[in-house]
Amino acid sequence: MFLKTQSNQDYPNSPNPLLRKLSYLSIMSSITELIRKEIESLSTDSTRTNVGTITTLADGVARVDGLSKVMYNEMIEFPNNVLGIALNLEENSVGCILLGDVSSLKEGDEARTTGRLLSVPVGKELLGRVVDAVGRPMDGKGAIKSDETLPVERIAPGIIPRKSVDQPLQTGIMAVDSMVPIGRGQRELIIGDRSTGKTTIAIDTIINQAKINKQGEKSGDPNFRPVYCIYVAVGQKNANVARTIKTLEESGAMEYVTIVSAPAADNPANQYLAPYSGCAMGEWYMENGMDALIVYDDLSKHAVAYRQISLILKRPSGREAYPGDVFYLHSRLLERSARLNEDSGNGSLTALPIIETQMGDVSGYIPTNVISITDGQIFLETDLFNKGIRPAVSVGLSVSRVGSAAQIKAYKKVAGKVKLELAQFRELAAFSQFESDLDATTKASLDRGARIVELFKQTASNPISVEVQTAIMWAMQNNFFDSIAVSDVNRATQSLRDYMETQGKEACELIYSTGKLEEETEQKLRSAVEDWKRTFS
Amino acid sequence: MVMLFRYNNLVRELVNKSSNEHGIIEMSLVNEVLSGLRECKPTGHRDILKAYLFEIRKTLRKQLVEVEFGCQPNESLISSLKSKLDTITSHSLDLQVSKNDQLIAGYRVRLVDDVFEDSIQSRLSKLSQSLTS
Repeated sequence: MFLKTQSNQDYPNSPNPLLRKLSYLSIMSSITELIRKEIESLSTDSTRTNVGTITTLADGVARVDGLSKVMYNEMIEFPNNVLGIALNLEENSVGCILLGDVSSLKEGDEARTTGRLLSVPVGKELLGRVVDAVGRPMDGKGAIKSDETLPVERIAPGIIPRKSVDQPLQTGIMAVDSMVPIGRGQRELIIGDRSTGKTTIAIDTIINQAKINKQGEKSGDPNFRPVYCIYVAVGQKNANVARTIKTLEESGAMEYVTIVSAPAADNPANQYLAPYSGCAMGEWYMENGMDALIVYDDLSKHAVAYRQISLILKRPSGREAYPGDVFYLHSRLLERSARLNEDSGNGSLTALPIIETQMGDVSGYIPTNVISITDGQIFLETDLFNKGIRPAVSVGLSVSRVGSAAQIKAYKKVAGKVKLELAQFRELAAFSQFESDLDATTKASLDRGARIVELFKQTASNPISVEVQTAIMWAMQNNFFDSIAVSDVNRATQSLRDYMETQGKEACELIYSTGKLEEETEQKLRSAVEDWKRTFS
Repeated sequence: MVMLFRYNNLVRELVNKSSNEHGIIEMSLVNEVLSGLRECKPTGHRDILKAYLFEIRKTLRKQLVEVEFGCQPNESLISSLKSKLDTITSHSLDLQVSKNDQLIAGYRVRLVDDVFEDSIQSRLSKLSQSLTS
């Protein structure tokens, strides 16, 4: 009875030798059964890999002998978990750019193909994070819990899934939103010399998106479409990137932003890849029916990194030592930004590439390439910047080819003529220096222009909502600023802005909800502005 | 390396002359080619020799198969492996068999730049990668 209730394994220490032996036999049988099952479950298929040997190693580029079956852009595995990408497939060798710490590699080391293309994590898990060119976290906030990945290099959407730009993307900068409006899915270049406020425009746009997102989420509008942002820092100083992160955190925008950083200290391979990685992250939003904004800061440094790689890979060089495919480098990146139609999810990816010019020369090789690829440019002038006109948007050289179609009707009505007025003012201002007597029309144009210039002056990280912008522009168009001294216009603008955000809220809300400047709205606007004018001193 | 491509056709012909009727490179034939080159002293002699060396190495690698076992293999296994590889590549191969303790168990065959492997080491490394990624 006792034997029946307990198994034989329960007697390894039994004084009875028979029971002890039975117990050992039972344990052995269980162990062998376990191992046998493990052997049966193991697949005995051998793996086939294509290998090669490093023949030369320099400046983050390895030349590998072998790898006869490697694919273009395939990830190559080197010892010590170093990864590379096959960029040059030659008759007798393969040129690979190396990602990561290459100090552990040496000539003669084995390289093997992986059969995979370089992919980065994508999804909302990346919001609020700072990652490197291959999507690894750099902010010390732990691993990125994203299940999805997308290849870094992808083909841009074709003609069929695309749609014309028809929704605005508000930057919150009056000079931009009124004269060079940007639409969702547009590629608008920000171009100018060093220290002219290029990054500031991009960061302000991101801050404004966060502000609009919060406002939209608070309103509970089911049709509200937030814009998620990606900021790609290429070849920048770590201090500058840290400052940008701080600005975004302080303005509460970081929760809608992903930063892809490939600083100047990073190897050129990472600097070359970072924009493509950021683009893949942005494409995820677009393909999932959401809207995203991507800032490439900046593509001049990206082109320089690519030139460095190409020269080390011994690719034939062309103008300014750039390789022949430097146009394709940027065109294939920027073509990935698009507005998709309803059948393809209705998402969009807006791109704000940044290009740094030398001495204001827009006819340089890389600037002209990117100008021809994008749908317009915001040109920032050093002279205007130094005169204190900030943002230093040049009216004559800035253009938006598709954005005006996306402007809301109310804003279009009040800002339609402002670009022309300002352009006329700049021209007249240049000639008026030589004239002592000016006719009344010219004087009126000059007065109006001087006031518009003051009106457009805006501090950094201080975006203005579109309804308030409409109210300010309406006040300007309806001569409310004419009696104010030019030197006081900027103060008056700030005062009107504060007024419209508080007492004049009703008129602004009407503009926000209808998007139009109907008679009723205009009446409310007039009474609000008149009230403000009475209080302003 | 780019400069050596211009001698591709000549070098391929020289490698053919260095191989016997079974396509195997022979020392005597290589010596004949070298002495022939020495006599006629063609333009770019040094570059031709470099390209010839590169091509000979490549061809030799195709004829040599490196086989590693985790434990000492028996003769029948080696001969069966050789016949299979000869059939796959459709020419006679030279098998260089060795024992590699790092494999723990299993085998690793390197044929030109293809590696066929089924060893405990490769499985452990795959397992480690899957756990860390």
